[in-house]
Amino acid sequence: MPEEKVLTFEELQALAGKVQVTETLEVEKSIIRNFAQAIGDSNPLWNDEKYAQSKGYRSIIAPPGFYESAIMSSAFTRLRPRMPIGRGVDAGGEWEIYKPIEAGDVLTNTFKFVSVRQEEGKKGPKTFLQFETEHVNQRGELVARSRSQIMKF
Amino acid sequence: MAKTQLYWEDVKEGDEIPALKKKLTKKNLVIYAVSAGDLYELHYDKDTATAQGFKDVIVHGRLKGALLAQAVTDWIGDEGKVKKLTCNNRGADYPGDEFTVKGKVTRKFEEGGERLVALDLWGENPAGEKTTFGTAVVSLPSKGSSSQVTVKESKPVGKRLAGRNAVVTGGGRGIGRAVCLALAQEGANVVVCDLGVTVAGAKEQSSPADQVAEECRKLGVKAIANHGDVSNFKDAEAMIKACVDNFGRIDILCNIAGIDRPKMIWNMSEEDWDQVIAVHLKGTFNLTRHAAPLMREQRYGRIINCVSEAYQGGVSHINYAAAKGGIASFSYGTARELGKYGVTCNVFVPRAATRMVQGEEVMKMIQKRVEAGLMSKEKAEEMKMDTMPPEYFANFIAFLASEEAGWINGQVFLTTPGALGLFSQPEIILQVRHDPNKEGAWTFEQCAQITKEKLLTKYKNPAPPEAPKDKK
Repeated sequence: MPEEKVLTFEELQALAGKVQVTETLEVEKSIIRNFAQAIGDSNPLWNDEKYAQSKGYRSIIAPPGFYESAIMSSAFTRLRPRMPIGRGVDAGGEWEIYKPIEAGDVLTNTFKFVSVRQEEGKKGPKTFLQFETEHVNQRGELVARSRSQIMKF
Repeated sequence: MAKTQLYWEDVKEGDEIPALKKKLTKKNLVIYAVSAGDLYELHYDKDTATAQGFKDVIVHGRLKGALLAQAVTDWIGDEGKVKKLTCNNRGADYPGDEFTVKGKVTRKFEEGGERLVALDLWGENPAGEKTTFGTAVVSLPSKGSSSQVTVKESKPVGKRLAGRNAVVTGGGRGIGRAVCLALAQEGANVVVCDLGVTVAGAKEQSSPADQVAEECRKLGVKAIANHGDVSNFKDAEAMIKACVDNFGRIDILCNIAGIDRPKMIWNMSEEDWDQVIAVHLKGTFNLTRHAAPLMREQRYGRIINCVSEAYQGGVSHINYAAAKGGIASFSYGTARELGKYGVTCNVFVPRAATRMVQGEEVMKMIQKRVEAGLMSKEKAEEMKMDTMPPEYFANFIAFLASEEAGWINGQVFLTTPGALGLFSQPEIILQVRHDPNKEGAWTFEQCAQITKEKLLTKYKNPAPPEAPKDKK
């Protein structure tokens, strides 16, 4: 595999606030059930449609951890094809949840690269990239927002 | 199985949540990778993992985040809602190992009609080392309410500040007056404070505060005038006291009073400096100092301070710019000190047609700044465009003063007839670090080199030296 050209700090600075992609995500029942199975969470709200409906939801809903998942809020992964970043590790994030995600929802997810900063470490400079995401459902309601950081090395 | 419902009344600060123990298999990781869209080889291909120095494939960081969240949803039951999550990984965890999520209640509070609990969360590996850190904010139902979580509803127009009491300094004219009327329009009782002075701060005969209080009363609220001096600590106390004595308590404080004495630094007198700082900066402190203990005690308050774009480095009145910058910093800190008591402190940066910025003199000053290269033509045009009266944005201050805006704290907003905006928070954008224990003090050469090569690579001097102009 050819080595990808990795952007320099200056090139990243020039891109800050300018790179974003918008994607739609159909949240099917199977995605939510698989997600719940993967984390070993048998809570009936994310597994049992009849139970969730008895609580006033249209179908099963996504657990809060789903909002943190890559298909929802990893702007790093989503934007990579537009901006070769090289290797990076997750350096934390925060998620604000405004509305439940019910199975059947169609979300419009916006992934943005917002800023970059650099710290001189012992083993050379450490670069931190900040990303933001926004998730709107088919009714135009803001479902969630996230801010996360990647440390590039 | 359905979870037991937790009620807000049952939670205390310091409570620990039940630990959640998980032993994930590699199969869990594979299902997670597919359903969560996290297909990095490190989590399913052992060779990739060992090549990067791990003993096996590692658990996805965000999967651990989801487990932190699960410990919370297991604890709160169906009617509890997770509002906010944070997660930060500090170490690797492996499938097959037991991962234990623990958590502790750090804060219990009410905001925007919701009963909320904040938690610290962390995940431990089998050696008891904390490899994952997080926080959560959840809303919980109250035993007193119906089975559904209380959803905050917007109050009807004209009643959104009903029952709230406000003190507005500089309320007699311009922006302060527009704010008094916007608050009264939404039902707030108002203490209109205005000394009645000229732009430069000299005494005047008329009493604009009385007139504005009368205008507020016509809107159906209680209003009184106060003619004290915000730069006087005792007068400021009397303003807050007037609100409490007449209306029962104080909910809203708007620090808007200000004067301007524009001079270049080489012409500015000590008095020009002292007076401007006293009215703006000390005035803001004085009022806030007397309101803060009451707001903290009642666990509710909205402090709204007025700053100007001059705080970004406005020229020809650096006394005013410095006072405004001081108020911005004052507000950042006040927001952080009082936030946990349900008291917010925010800033608005207005542009509007008022006597402070109108008139020939000001237009001439703008012209002079453009000619001297101290202000861009675009900026000057923008400033001239925003010469509609402050009534065009006064509702923004009413909104900030409402219960609905309880989630907004420590922010600086641009408010003009033509634009609403947000200023960035001051932050370090670039750092070069070394270990002073090993490397000692930064040398002169290092300082020069790092500044040139690392810190100021995209730099433009805001005011480079010029050759002296020929004297006519």
